[in-house]
Amino acid sequence: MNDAQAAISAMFERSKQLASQDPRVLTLLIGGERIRFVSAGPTMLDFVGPALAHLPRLPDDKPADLTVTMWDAATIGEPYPDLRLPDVEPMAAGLLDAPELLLSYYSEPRLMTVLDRNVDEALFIADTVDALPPWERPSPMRALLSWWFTGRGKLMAHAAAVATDVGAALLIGPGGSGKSSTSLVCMAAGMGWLGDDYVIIDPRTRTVFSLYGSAKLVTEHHDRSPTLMRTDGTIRHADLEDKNFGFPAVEFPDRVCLSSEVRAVILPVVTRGPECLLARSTASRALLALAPSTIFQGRVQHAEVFGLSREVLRPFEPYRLELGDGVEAVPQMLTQLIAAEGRS
Amino acid sequence: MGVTPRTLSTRPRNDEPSLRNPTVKTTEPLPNYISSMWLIDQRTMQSEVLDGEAVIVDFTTGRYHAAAGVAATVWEAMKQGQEINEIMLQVRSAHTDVPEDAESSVLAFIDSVVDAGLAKQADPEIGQTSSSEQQTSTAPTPWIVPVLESHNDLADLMLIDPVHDVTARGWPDVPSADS
Repeated sequence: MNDAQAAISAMFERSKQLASQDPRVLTLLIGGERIRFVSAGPTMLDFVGPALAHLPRLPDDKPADLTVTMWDAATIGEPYPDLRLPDVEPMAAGLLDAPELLLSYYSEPRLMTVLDRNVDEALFIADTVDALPPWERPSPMRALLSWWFTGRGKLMAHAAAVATDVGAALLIGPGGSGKSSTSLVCMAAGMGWLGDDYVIIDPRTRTVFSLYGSAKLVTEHHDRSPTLMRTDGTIRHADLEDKNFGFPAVEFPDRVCLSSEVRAVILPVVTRGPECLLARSTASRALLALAPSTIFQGRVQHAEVFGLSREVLRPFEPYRLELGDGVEAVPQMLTQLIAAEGRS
Repeated sequence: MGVTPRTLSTRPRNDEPSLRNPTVKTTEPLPNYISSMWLIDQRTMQSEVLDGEAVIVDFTTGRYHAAAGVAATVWEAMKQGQEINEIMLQVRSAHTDVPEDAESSVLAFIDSVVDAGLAKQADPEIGQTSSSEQQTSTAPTPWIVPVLESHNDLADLMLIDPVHDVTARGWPDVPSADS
């Protein structure tokens, strides 16, 4: 064992000791896998809880597929681990990608995620939750979950999904393409809602699973349709559009769909035309819409994520959804498409 | 369990044009590519041709690209290490109505691929083996001037969540017990 491995091993041991003093345990079924969160005190669990609150809870005394130990230095009174990480700019992240050991960190605010794939154990450690990056609360542990699900042959996709009793429509595209707006309009119209930005997909069964119960809308879109979602916070960045986020899965629990079989793949695009239209797209455009943004969420395992993206899309002939005026017609369009694809 | 630092940089090079919107890049004059072949580091990117269009994702820059029709044919031939003459044979067998001066368009496309950092010209003195693998036989499609469509919209994501290089000394730089 070299110095680096020893340092990380010691960090795992110390974290388990800390968590054992006042353990707060939550075991959830996420993407068809049993994931256990063990928090040293309530702070970290309270922080990540709202985004995962809609997911099925499992017994805490049965084996788990992945165990995530988490703590924050501020409330535990433990110094933040000193791993002599390279200095990076505030809010930037560093990354270590070893075959079975993945680590990412922010320098300021200090946040560290470690996954040891040999034993399916992970750490999520913050200096203080008050200063965590604004996107962590609506979609916590994104990199960690992406890494781990990739190893299980499942894709943590940068995608939204909505469903009927027949099956689901996967909405793919880069930020600003209309995924969130489409998914929330469909939810408001009574369709099942699986997520607005990230979902888990098992390409072997074509099953899409809900992940985060949060949604993010560009402030301008949210102001136009304020009833779609109650705002819990705003993600601000000097160079990007502000986004409001909320937890529609908490607000509208009866609309949540936990899993469904994918029947259709949709590429939304905001056209601001006179109406909304559905038209055939191509497999290459679907891959362009899904793979790059999904790959760079996890930032490692690029080839694997590219391959999984291809596998997820392979069975489908994708559609382009042109979002113009009359978005209230979209839920019916997608419901009919899901029904038609379900028959084919 | 080996711990090998991985160095990734997502910062765009200073000399690169903005690719915020899809662009078609041509440059004059063209380099002399006679008897040239190109090296594509397939460890740092992934590509696949679907419906006659190549999807190319560059892991080192975060940029992604599309190359349709003739451009996809040329890209696949470049991946196989083919020289320009072989590439033109591929183009003429896979497409109809190929103009006599098609080579200049193909070279312009290759130039845009090289300029995007997806390939570099191989040293002709170093023996390269071309697989000269013929593409899957499909019905020829009409000639369309090959272009590389490039996207950089994930720069937004990188602004939020950039990946920085670890130090040259590797990571973690843990002090020894006696230091």
